[in-house]
Amino acid sequence: MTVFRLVLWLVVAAAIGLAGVLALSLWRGAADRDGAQAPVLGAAFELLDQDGAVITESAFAGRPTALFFGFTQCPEICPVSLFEVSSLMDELGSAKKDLQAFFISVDPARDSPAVIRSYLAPFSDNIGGITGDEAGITALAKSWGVYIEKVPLDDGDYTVDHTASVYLVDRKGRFRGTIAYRENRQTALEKMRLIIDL
Amino acid sequence: MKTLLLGLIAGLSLGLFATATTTTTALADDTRHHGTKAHDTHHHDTDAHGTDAHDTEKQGGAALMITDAWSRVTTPGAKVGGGYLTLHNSGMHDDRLLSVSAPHAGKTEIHSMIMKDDVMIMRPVDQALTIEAGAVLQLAPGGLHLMFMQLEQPHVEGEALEATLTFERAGAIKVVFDVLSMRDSMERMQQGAGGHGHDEGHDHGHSHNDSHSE
Repeated sequence: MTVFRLVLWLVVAAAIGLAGVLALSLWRGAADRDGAQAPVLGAAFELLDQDGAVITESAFAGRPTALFFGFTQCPEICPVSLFEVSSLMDELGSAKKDLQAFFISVDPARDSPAVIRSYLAPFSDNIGGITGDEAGITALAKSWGVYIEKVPLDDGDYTVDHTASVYLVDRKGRFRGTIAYRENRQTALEKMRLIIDL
Repeated sequence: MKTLLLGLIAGLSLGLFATATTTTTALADDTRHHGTKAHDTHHHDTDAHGTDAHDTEKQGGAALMITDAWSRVTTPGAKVGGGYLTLHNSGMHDDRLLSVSAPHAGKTEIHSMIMKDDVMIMRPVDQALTIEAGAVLQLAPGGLHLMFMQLEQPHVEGEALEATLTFERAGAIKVVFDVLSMRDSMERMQQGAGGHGHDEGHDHGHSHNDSHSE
């Protein structure tokens, strides 16, 4: 009997605890709309933009920025993500103000600045490219918690597995969340507004 | 305080358990798919259309039909483009897609794509794709697709790209891929994903590019 009661109390305690954790996380989420507790990700870097000019972390400073990693030899995710980011920026229209995005190559060996430039040509000037040396790209990806793995294929070719999410950074350089591949458009718009509104 | 701590621990372990379960399911799904791909038995099922299909098959008819072949525009810097289509095997026998060639691409491969923890993983499919008797196999965004590689020219909206698909039984079948704009391709992807009630007013009329084996 005593054991039974003890177990019952434990269940009650667990339920209360769980509710508490949920409430706390909800409250945190709501209270942190201004991003006071949002982490700053990313390390300093020195790479190349689509024109072959040196680009550093200062390119992200003071502007709401969407970052995503990809490569030009990727038939679906990369062009679709690029298009989605571009059309989200268009839809935000005048509200986008100084919103910018960067397509960061996970395959710098094949994606030269010139390749990136023509890849981005149909899109707005607010979408820039970043490429450069492999070590620099690897370090940049790592500093954003982005997974990159170059995978050799049987025919001597290779592919690159990579995190497909779009990283959102507010103008104070704080990481404010990600947009998943093919995320619901309204949710994605809300998330982008979050980094603009600040 | 102790109660809260206990609760916290219980809550956390519940969360961990849920995550672990999801991961296991995803892995199990993955294995099952690979199993299907390697599967290569010629079973004789008692499909209602079996006799008809068998007759046409004997005459080299349309046991295998390909519909909804499309691709999307590529930007100038892209050297690859995806190709999507639906394979209908109304015959009594499994068939296998052995190879694909397209004059506009230096090389065309069959690839698989999966998303795992937000990481995109794409691989060439090394076995021939089996289309089981009576089955429909879709090559669609987010999964199996054709990969047109070493493109000399970008895919342009409205273009009709030809490719030849070679099957073990049905032989060579010419297929025409409609090149859709990014916007139209997004709509097509929505439809493919079961649709979210988005843009239902549009119809891309895919009957004109249906292909049959000869």
